[in-house]
Amino acid sequence: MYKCQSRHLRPAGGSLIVAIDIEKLVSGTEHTIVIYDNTLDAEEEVTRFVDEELVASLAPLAVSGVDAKALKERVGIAMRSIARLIAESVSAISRETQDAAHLQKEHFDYAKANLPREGFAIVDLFHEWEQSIEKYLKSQLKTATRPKEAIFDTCEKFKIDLVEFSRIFPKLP
Amino acid sequence: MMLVLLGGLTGFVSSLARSKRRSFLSYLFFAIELLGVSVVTIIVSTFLSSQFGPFFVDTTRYDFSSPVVLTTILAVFLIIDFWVVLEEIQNPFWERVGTGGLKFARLLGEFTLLDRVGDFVDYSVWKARFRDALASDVQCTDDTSLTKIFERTLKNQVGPPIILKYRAEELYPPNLMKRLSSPDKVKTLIRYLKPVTFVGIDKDRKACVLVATVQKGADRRMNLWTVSPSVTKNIVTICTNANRDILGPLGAH
Repeated sequence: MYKCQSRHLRPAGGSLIVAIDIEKLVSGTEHTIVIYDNTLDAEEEVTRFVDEELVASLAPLAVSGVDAKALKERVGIAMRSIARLIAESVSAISRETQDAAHLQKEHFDYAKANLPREGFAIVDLFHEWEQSIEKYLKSQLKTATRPKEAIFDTCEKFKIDLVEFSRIFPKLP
Repeated sequence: MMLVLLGGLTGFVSSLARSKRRSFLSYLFFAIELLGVSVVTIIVSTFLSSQFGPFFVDTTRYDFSSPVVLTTILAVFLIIDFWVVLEEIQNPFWERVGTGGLKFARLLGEFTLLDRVGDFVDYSVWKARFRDALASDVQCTDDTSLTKIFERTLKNQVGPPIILKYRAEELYPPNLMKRLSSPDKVKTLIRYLKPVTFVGIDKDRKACVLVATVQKGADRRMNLWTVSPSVTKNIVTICTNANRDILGPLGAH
């Protein structure tokens, strides 16, 4: 799911350098998945990390004229989406030996460790994610029978819920 | 009744239809099934109109044995969800997979009572068994939102769950799927009609606490059972509110 690109991201550990390819992450096929009881705790830990550490570090990047609070919220949603996409991608590897993908705590720990820490890298990744989701939603709106189904498909593809969707898209494009 | 029983074999036979001869047989059985359900529909409609019609209409003015009345009743059956079926047939999936004959049969099936009677009996049996722990035809959200709703509600009210999110097309035995004439198309069909089934298990792995089957026709609906009526009620409320408060303002209904 990962490939080295010119734009590198440095995780907290410092030594591992990987690049996150949004298009590749969202292009994976959905499979049967098992979500364990401690996975929810791990996901909540990622949410806490994103909101309290990653997004908080963006304060110096606030630009006048831009609603900084709304921007941070959108960045937080994008980072959580990416973390979930990474976790599910890694869990899908286990599917090669089993009937279903097993989404476990370690997969979210891995995703958390691989999220970018530096402000510009976070914003760069956010813009890539935002462009990708908008492009996907527009294509779905053209082909789906109803706007509702296009929204559902987009939420499923990018691992965001409806509340998060409404924060990213207050109006449909 | 024999005709209906013979027709009931159609699905099985057509699923095995690899050769032209078997394919011809499946069409023959399909025609017999259609004839059978049509006969049953006419008999039932005539009976219902003669028994219950006088409660609603002045019988001195209308003759319930008249073909006009029968045709009207059948037309009402059709109108109930004709547009839903029409929309379903026009969607990209049907455009790609459905043959002309299949579309015609789907529309024609709207004239018959058998599906509705089957659904009603099925729902009644489950409802009598599980009462308020079961909710049927619930307006539901996308898979990601549903997963979060299930996780949080069960965690708060029952305890941390293990959630199994099944792709419905993967639930069918591979040996059976291999025998189908077009397994890929059948998988696409199942994926479209029943995208996902959720099963929740308590953390001790001793009891099932949730079963939710999502079905997609013209709209996305869910049949839901949980271990407690209050959990079911909460999930239904959250899903309904999400549809109303988020999709409504977006103009997505």
